[in-house]
Amino acid sequence: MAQKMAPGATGAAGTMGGGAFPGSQAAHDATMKAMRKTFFDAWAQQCEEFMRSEAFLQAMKQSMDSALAFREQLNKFMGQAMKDSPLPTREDTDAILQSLHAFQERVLDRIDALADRVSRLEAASDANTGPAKGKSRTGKGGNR
Amino acid sequence: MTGTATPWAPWVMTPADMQKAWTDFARKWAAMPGVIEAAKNTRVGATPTETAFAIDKIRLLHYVTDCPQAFDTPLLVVFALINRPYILDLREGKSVVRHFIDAGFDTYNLDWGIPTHGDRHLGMRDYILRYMDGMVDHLREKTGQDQVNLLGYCMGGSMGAMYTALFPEKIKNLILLAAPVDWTNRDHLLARFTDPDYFDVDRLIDVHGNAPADMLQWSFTLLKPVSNLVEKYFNFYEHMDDPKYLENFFAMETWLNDNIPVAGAMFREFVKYCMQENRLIQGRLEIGGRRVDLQRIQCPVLNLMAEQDHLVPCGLSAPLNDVVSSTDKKAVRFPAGHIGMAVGSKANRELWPEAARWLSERTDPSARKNA
Repeated sequence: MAQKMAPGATGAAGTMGGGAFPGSQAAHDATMKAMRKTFFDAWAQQCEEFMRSEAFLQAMKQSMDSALAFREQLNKFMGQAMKDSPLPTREDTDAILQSLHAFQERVLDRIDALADRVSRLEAASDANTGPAKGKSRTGKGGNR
Repeated sequence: MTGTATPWAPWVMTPADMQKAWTDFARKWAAMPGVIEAAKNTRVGATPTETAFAIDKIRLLHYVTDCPQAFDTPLLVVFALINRPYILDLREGKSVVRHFIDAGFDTYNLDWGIPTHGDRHLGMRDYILRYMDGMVDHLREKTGQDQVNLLGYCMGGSMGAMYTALFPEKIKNLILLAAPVDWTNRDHLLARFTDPDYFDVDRLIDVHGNAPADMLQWSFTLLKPVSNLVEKYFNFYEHMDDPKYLENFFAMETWLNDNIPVAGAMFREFVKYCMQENRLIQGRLEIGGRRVDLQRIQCPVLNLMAEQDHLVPCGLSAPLNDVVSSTDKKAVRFPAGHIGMAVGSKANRELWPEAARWLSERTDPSARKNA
């Protein structure tokens, strides 16, 4: 980190001393900005090193585990409350949605198969009667 | 007392410095009504769009302009599932799509919509084989072209590469912007955060259904905490009396805070198969029973990478050019950050006109124009 700080720090110091500092307000502001940037860069570097550390990553994992455990309990509690008062739970709606999703997949797969079949029939028909005027660009058949 | 700082200790405030600081503060305070007004009047999205097609919540947005169309092959822009796609057309002068529209491309943007709990089961198969392919097919049908040009940004770029590998015959040219494809290098911070030892994606999705927007937002903020939580506001204070700065600041903040959840199955598959198991570059990724082999990409590829990208370092994108079969491929490393590639002044001045030229040179001129 010291190496990373060095260019900014020496830059700021160079502006401050050695007769380079002209004493104007603009130079003063530039010096202060350079110092601030050096400080933020060092701080950012420190934060990154900390976030890469095993301690931080473990702490992050533990806090996420705790949050998820809490949420799980909340979901269970809410689900139980819904079941006790005859209302559909999230599991119920999920089951319906999954069923719809699977149904949609089957229908779309079937449509694709049919489109593929139609394309092949069209190709065979074209081969017998010459090229068709229009050209299908959907390319749907068998692509899913 | 000259009113200037002493050379040997510039951090020591003289009475003149104190007076200046108070004057500055008073000026900033006086600018507050302007700040509030700028925040209220924030506008995002420079170019008007219309919905050209929709499948479920996914919309194909068409940029409506008066620019003459020079090419029949349309351009489809695909953004990530995280955040909203208007970052690519944020404001006048900070618009990626504008460069392509001005070059004469009929340009479209894929808006993935906002997933709700009912969309938790949508995975790669749905997003790539059903939605993306449906949109591309619609574009081909509508424009009468066999192929479309594809521009993918970030995760949208990864999805674009996957799509092109699965349907190489449908893509004319592929432009990838900060698109991760190879997670071999685990040294960057996001890879550490998503390491399976510390991040159980299965449990997260089992409990929440979708990847929560707040969690994603905080994860990205934490990647650069000092910059995102401290430095940004120092800069804001310094420039809060500059109306132009305020317009850009609030437009960016609007986008940064416009977080959306990611569909559970998609998030699980992307994190597990791509980020943790690195299947994509190894040719082991399967979508809907079909293997995604990046070697099948044969079209011209322009791979744009950001040198200062903390989300997708160049090492995650560069290997694509080594695995594709394309003979016409180019990699560009541009000195910008992940977002700066899209909205940065330098990128809009230097990178995107060049990218639009690259695409123009590889797309046949409009037959209507020639007729």
